Amino acid sequence: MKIYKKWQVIATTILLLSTIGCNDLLEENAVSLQTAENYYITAQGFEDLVKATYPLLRDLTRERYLVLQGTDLFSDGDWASAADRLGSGFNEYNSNLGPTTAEVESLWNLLYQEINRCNTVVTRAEGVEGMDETLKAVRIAEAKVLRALAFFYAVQQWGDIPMPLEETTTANKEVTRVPSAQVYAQIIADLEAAEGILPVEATDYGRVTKGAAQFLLARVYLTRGWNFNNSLGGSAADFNKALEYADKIIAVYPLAENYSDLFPARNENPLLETNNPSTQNDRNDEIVFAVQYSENIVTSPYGNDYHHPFGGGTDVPGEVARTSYYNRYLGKFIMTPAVYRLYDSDIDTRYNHNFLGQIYALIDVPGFVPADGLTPIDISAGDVVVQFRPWDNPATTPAERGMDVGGDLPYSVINADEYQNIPSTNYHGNNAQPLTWKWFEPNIEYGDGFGTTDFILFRSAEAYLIAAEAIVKGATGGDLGTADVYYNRVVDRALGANAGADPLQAADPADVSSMDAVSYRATSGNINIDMILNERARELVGEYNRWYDLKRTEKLIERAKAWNPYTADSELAPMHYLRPIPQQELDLASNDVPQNDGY
Amino acid sequence: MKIKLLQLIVMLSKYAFIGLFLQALTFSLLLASEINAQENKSVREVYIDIQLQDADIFETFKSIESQTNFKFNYEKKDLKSTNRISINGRKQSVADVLMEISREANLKFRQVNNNINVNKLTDNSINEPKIEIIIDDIEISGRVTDQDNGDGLPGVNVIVKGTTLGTVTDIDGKYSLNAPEDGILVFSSVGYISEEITIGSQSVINLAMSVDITSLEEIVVVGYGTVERRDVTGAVGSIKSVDITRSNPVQTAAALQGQIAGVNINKLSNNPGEGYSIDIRGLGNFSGQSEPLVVIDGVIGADMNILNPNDIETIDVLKDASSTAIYGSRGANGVIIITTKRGKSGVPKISYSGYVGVKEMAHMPTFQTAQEFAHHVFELWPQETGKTLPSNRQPTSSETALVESGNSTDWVDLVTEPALQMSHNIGLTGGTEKTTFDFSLGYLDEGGNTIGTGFKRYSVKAGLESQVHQKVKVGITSYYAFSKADLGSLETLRSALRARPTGTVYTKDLQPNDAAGDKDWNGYSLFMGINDNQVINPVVEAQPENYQRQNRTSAFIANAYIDYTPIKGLSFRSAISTALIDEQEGEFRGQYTKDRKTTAPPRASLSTGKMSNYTWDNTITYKLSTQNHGLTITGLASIFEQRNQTTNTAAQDLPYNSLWYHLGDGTVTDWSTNLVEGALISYMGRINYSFMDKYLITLTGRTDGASQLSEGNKWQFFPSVAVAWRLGDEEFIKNTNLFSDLKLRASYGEVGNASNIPPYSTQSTITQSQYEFGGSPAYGYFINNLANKDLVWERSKELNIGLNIGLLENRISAEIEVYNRTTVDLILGDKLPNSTGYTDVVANVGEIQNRGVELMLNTVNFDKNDFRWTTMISFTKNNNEVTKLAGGVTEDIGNNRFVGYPVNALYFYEKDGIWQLDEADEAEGYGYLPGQGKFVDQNNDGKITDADDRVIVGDESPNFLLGMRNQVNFKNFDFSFFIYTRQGVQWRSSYLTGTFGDTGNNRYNHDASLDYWTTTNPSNTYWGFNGAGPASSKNSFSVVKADFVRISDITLGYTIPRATLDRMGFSNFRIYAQANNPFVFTKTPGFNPEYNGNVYTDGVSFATYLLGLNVSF
Repeated sequence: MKIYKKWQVIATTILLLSTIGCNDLLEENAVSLQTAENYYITAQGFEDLVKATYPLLRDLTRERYLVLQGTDLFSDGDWASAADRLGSGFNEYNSNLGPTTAEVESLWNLLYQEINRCNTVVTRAEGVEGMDETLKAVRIAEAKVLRALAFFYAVQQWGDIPMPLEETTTANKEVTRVPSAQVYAQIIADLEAAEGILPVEATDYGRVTKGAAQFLLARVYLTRGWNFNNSLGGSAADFNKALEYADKIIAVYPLAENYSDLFPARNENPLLETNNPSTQNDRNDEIVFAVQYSENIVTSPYGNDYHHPFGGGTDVPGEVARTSYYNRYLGKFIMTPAVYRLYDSDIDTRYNHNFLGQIYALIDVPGFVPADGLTPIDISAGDVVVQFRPWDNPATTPAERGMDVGGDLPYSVINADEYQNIPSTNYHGNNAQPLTWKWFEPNIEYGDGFGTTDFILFRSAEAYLIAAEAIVKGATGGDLGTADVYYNRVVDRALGANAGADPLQAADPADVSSMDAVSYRATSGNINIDMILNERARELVGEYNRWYDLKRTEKLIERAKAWNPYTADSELAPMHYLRPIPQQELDLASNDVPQNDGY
Repeated sequence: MKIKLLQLIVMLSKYAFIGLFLQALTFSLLLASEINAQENKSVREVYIDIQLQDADIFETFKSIESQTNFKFNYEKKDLKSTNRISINGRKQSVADVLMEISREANLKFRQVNNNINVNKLTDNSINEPKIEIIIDDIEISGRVTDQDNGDGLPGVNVIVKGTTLGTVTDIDGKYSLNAPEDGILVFSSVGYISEEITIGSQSVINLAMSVDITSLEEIVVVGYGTVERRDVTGAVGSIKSVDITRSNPVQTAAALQGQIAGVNINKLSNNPGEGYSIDIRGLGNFSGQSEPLVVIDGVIGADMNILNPNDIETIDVLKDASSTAIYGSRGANGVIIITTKRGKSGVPKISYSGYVGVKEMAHMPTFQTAQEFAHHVFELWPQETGKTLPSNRQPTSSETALVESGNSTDWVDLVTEPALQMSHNIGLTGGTEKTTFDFSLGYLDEGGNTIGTGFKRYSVKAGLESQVHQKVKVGITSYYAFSKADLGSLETLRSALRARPTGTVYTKDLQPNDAAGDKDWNGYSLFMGINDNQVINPVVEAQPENYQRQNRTSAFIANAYIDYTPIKGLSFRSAISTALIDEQEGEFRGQYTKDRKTTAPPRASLSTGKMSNYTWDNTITYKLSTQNHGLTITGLASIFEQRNQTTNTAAQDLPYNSLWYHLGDGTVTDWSTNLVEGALISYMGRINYSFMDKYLITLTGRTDGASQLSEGNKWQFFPSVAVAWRLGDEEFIKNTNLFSDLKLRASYGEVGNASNIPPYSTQSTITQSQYEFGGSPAYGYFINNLANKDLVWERSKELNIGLNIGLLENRISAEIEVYNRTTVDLILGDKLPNSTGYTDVVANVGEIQNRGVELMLNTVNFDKNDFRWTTMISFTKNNNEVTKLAGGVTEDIGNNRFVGYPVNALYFYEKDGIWQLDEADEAEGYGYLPGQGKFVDQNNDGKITDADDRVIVGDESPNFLLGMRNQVNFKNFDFSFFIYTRQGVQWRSSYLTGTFGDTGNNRYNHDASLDYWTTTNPSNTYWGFNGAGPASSKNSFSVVKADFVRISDITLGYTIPRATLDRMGFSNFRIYAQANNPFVFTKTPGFNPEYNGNVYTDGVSFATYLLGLNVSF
């Protein structure tokens, strides 16, 4: 019996020991992970929460398909094949652009991710302790502007949309679409409240400012004023508001002296390149709001990628693969033939900034055969190998043409009517086209991104054009006067030394065979929406707005069919003013969510 | 429920029929090999009926001989004059009859075994015994070995049949005894098939005994204890070391494939050293994997891949809920218990096993040659699409020159090579009666077929057990393994598989105008003379100096216990098991890689992970047995804690090739550390009760508390009950003389699963975001995951009915299981509508049912005259069905979950052939072109839309799995082969959805065997140059059947005969040749029908041919 007791003592002791402190073990204490509940209640935590509402702007502005493609300015490549009807869904507006299109999903997902982050700021603000109330109010206002921006993009793309205004805290699968008018009302309410709170100059450059709120208000009012399908709750008074806010921007944000001041400096010949944009100051008084980038690969791990998705390419003799000389051109967003014909290449400085006129050999190419049967020539590094002539200055004589097509010049010369539609020669392929040079940044790493300059989202040049559009639509009382005054300010800045001259664009930009030209200087008599859209194209081409402009003005069908070779004979119809709700969203919703008509 | 039961019965009968059929096949062979027993008996023991009336002596003898085995020996002339005999008697012993004869005929008899010598009684001998019985004993000696490894078997009972004469083999398996000539020796040992051998004239009898995998006395590990197989009440499958190592698997999991019914093992990739996916009794969730719990020597949740298969003694797989219930919250997906080898007392024994072989690329798909590619892209593409090839896709002069030369570049061949595979293992065991030890060393080198890949593993194992006191036993086992996996370049195969066969390998072979725009690396043309810089020369990318990835893993497992037995029947055990795993992954990408664009300086990264855990189990066991009652009570308190610590560092612009060992010199792009911790506390009780050894019941209950669930949901109780009835021991069954074993089992239990819940999922954790304001860093924090505080335990409820049948002394034995498992409150990542701002949440999402039948069949088909043929068959049939979804919905398309269908349903447009030229108008109405995929317009609205036209076109769950091993032993030769098949799996082939199946791609190489549509080839099987059509990502043309039949291994071995061995001083010496995966029969396109992986990084499929050696002394 004794031994039995001894055993009991030992066993019980060990068993007891083994469970001591058990319940402590089961408490989760995430050492390396901070929880929202613990962190966002401090001033520091709340500041960090607000900072997290900015980075998605980078992802958002990389999501370009639904903003640029299928418009009058951007299309698929290989214009000669456009008639085959095998373009992408974005340009053909066929069933390839549908609820499952990846880009439709990704834009939707990004916008709602951003909305939820902003909502988290709004919801959690109350629980923050020890923070200066004025500063807190500014931070909430920043988040509300960013949320308004996201809702604004979403409501334009999809019409009636879910409109969560609080942080998501439960896994609710019900998806409810709120009428567009209600979304616009919310956007305006948020922006106007924020505009009153935000400072003119932010504590940190790059944050949302009063100006950003005002600029967005100008755009939103302008858009609501057009009142798409009578569904936005807009009225004529909205145009006055748009003008009022545009004037506020114009008063504070002066135009840069030169168009090119807004973008990285560079040399046309890469071998003579000395610019290094990471040292270039990319702040400019014209900029109201820009997505921030820098050369710091930790805070800008992917970088600005606006230099790479557009057309062109350097598939020419003397090129070196995978280098940063011409960096990477993906040819995913090919400008339509009309774009090149909107500029007066002689006097409009934007033409030469936006497009690269010639490509240089980077290495020696001895014994190059310009065309079958010709005597080989030696190409030296630094020689021009391909030249792109502007529409208003074509090469017409053999003396002006390259040896590849029977001309005299030791390089190929391509006229504007041949862009994307020329038999390939030993100098170039059949889809040759000037490089889009607008955002080209020299001396950055070769690849899809890695740009270090900020991407401008709002700048005052656009405010001039917003004002002009508002006045054309009936607004009155502009600080600068009539619509043409606002409009010509933008044109004249581009003309530089030739300000005041009459710049000429093609009379019919879509007709590449015609040399007929008309002036694009505005007068109070001729200014109209199409002129403004053309000027927007010249000034803002490739920036993050074209589809929205065409939707707002309901010019998408007319202009895209006229200018976009792939859209010309497409199924583009009024239904396309709204995008399909992503199928994924419908699939995941526990309730039946109506799809937009036609999809 | 009734209907389901009926289905179950129907299903059971169906598969029982298959089982019976298989048995019938082997039955006749078995009958043929029955031995006609012979034995020596004394004339006093043999009884006869004899009635003779005045018979002569010869008739008398004949009469006796006709009734017995005795044979009379006499000189005929001696007996001529004897008296006639009359005997009238029933049932009298031969001795009595002989006495009568002796009296009547004056004869005397001397029995020597079965011979009876007859002599006349002389006057001198009149007083001598009339009958002398000499049953001759001769001395027999020999050695009993294990047939599989040749080791001597100690403790084998050797008995002269029908007598009490016998002995036991010694530590080396040696024995000697005196036995009657013509007697029969019966050899028996626990866990081995008993053998009978007729002595005949032999004086040395050596025997190699084979393992009886159905042995009723076999010990089965059931978790926190062991039971004899006869007493098992749940569904437990086991394999022993010989079956684990027979096919020389690199990873332990491979050994389970097809060898245990109900276990589905699949490869994850063809890369060297790669692990396997395992599910037991079907998928219990939607994630595509339901990994069972692995317990290695008490270390719970261990990683099976760190083990050297040669160190494993047994693997026991607990399948039904009543068996896994003792692991409570962690048993829902089944439990695999691995017990490593232990020391044995006796003189130290050294053993060696090893092999060397060659691994060759095999079963590869065919790709286009340069000429086929040129035809496809340069000719057909423009013709079929009506477009001009983009300039950077058109053939360069180097490509044209190659095509015209008739040559073709086989990039895959250039970056692959036959590889060496070898393994060496040395073991040492021994000890005294009280203390035993074991020690082993292992080395494995599995070369990779792709340049720069390979896997090496070094392992050390040591164990010591000692009865330090009458009541106290202590033991420790420790295992350490180090492995190094060279993973090569991520781009090598990707580039080699994609690169055009029209490419040029060497710069010197480029045409002059292509050479200008190309680059050279050590004679290799970087861009292969192709006007497309997307792919760089795979041979360059493959070089370790340009691109390396390497994983190094150190794993240490230790288990220590103390066993205290204060009084008989009661024992207390405290055991601590720990595992430490240290992993590092390094990656280096030099300048001459696609990633570094051939221009940028190198970049590299290093990730390290340190995982440590411990389990402390305190167990009390009380055993009581009386004549009719057996009772075992087990109690357990257990604590488990685990931590995972990781760091990641990445840098670019490294000045020189320092691999990942000098990251500070570059620009650091990532630097992060992380810690994840979790804990589990458990209390368990189990009662095993048996009545008359025939009626068995097991009751188990376990309560678990887990850290990763929120307050109030942490604790859960998991009960189970199992009963078994040993029918075979009932008289009415015994009397049929049909069954050598018959047991019926039934069990029900509930088990949990919280392993799917990542720690901290009930909290909203935050993640850093990167941004900057005006060039200054602006790090923010956003919420990473939507917290779900309502998470509760996922539970499986399972009913299992099992039957064990043994026929003909277990020469046919079968184990049949039928089960129905329902997993409720499934915990899983659940996709959310993105308008919530989140993509998914961890949630309790629904209910899945797995029902199935398993059959294990072992037969000894033939066993006679040194020839033995055995067959093992495992058959697995599982039906998987989603039975309920959260929120009461019947389909959750976004998450691909459908009530009434298997978990991994394939929801796509249903293919209906290809639009043909004469259907162009109709096709256009749907927005399609001739040559594109034709899909069924399910709702006939004239459009093919996601909203209405997707249907379930198949699923990835197998219909059945079958493994069959045949083993033949003839004299000193052994031969075996294993056939494995999986049927009924479909999947969306990642091979076809890649560039190989993309007919219209004009950039990369294609599969050469696709019957794709062209205007002149109106194929209805595969779309043409204009793609599958709109929304092609939803098309089902790439959904393929992934059935296969494979000869997994074929082995031929030869064991050197005993006598020779003795001279050489070995106790065993076996050499063998083996082919692994020599034959695969499948129609599945791609590299390996076993898994649907990432074709670009998963390595190439292969077969291995090796020579092996097992030696012990």
